Amino acid sequence: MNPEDLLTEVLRERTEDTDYASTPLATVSKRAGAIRARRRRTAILAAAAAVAVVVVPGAVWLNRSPSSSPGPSQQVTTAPTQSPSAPSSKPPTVALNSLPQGPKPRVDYIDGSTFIGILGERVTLPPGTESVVRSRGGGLIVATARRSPERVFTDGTAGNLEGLAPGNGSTTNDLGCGATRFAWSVDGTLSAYWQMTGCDPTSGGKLFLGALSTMSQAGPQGWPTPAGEVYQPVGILGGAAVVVNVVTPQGVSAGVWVVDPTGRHRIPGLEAALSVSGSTGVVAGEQADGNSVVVDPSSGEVRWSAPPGWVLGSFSSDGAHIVARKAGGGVSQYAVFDAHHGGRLLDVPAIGGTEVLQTAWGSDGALMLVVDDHQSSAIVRCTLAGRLSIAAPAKPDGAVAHYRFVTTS
Amino acid sequence: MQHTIAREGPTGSSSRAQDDEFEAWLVARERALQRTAHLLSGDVHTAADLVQETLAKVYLSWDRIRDRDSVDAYARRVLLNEYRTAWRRPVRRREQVTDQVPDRAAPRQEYDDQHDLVWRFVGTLPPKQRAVLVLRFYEQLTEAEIADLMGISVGTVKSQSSRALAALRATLHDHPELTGDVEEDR
Repeated sequence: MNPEDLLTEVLRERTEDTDYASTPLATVSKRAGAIRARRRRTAILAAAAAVAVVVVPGAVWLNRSPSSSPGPSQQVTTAPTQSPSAPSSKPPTVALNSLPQGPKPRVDYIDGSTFIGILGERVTLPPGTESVVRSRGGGLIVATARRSPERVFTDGTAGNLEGLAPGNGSTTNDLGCGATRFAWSVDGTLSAYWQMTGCDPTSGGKLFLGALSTMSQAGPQGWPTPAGEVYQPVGILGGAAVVVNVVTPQGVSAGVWVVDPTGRHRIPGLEAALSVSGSTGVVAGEQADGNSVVVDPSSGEVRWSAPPGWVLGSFSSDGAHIVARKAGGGVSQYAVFDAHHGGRLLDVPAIGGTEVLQTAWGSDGALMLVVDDHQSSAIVRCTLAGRLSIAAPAKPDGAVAHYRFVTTS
Repeated sequence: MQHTIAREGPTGSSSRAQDDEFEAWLVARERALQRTAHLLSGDVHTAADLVQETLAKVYLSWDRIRDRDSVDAYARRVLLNEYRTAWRRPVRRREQVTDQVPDRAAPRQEYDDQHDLVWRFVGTLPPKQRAVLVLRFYEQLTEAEIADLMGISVGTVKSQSSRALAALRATLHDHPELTGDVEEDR
């Protein structure tokens, strides 16, 4: 039997051996009603927002008039470890097509299957690219989701590390298997990644840290990591310390660790690190109870806690701000917090009919958002004054969102 | 092939006759949608959710489907859109500000038999390749029909199918103990 016939046989067999429950018309009708209500709600919000934009053309101001909008340096003084109060109950909603065109994204991003660097360089990426980091001489290291059984994590995100030659993606260099997450230093000169031994997550591996040129086979030997531990680099502190989430091959958290040339130590009280500020030397992470906190990585001392339900994300490059997300009611809410004290500075306006897939901080200090309406995606810039503009126009999605940011911290 | 839905969007109340007509279609065609959704998503629970969302959207559009012969194609298109949306959820999880959850690694796998190997292989494919394989080798659609349904070019259908089959051949080749009677070259 040839593979095509075998495939047909297996697919048919799989469905023939399965019992499927029927859906009553009442269930369909009820679900249709929920969809109808959702559509109406979205349409109303978008229409209202469009009217608001006409009143203030060219800019969308958030909770404040333009004359009173705060600058990036404005901070809310809130006592440490306290959950600050919200500046408003609900952020406004705007329509994507009402936003003015603004500057291009000041961040590395993926446009379809093309990496577009902040300096304008373009590199074609291999299929299945999960994440990217810059490498020697303008080349890239990409993590691709190679889905062979031996090289896949159960959540489907890990895979091969491949080197792409500068200038194009036609020459690749298989670097083996590893975590798909990379870490960068705040100045962009250092990077870290973890590579497993023999593509076997139970066999340990090596954590690599160094100048970006070390992201190649010519790099240092790396720090050996114990068998039975999978390392996920999250960020880089100072010049030679990597913050990693450590999990067992079965996915059980083994804590957050700081690894440097002298050894490693666990950050007390954290179950998972979410992001790292190389500028201010703090770590945002999640405690066992699910609360998001900002901690001192040396002692685990909690500097401040996010309000209940809010999950902290990445720090701005100067470490002054941190983005956070709150899920609820089927729509996530995003806000910018003062990273030093936890004051909630800005509620990111919701864009009607879309959801935010990803956020990243631009080199201009603005928050960049990949927004998606399930058919197409766009990149939107949100300044710290709450002004929204289009940074990359909406383009139809493929199997995944058209745009993606490549940085995670 | 173009379906004949006038436009997307909520409709007014469905008439009793339309409900009866929809229910007749539901009874006749739900099982087929469930099977396809199962093969796309890999598990029956996700498939059930995909199908219910699909059915609800077809129900909402029912009074604007002028050509009843095109309902199946429309429903299949909605299902594929829902599948694509659902598939992006892991991306959302990864790309939320929480960043990635820790990787979970799977131990080396053992396979019961050749069919188990193939089914698990299908589960490892990127969603677009998986959808192409399911539509081509289960639904037995033509490449042109698949291209129309998925909103991609015929060339993309060919390349996705070719890559998936090449990977399948490689997987089978790696397990000679299970694949004695498979012709590798074709």
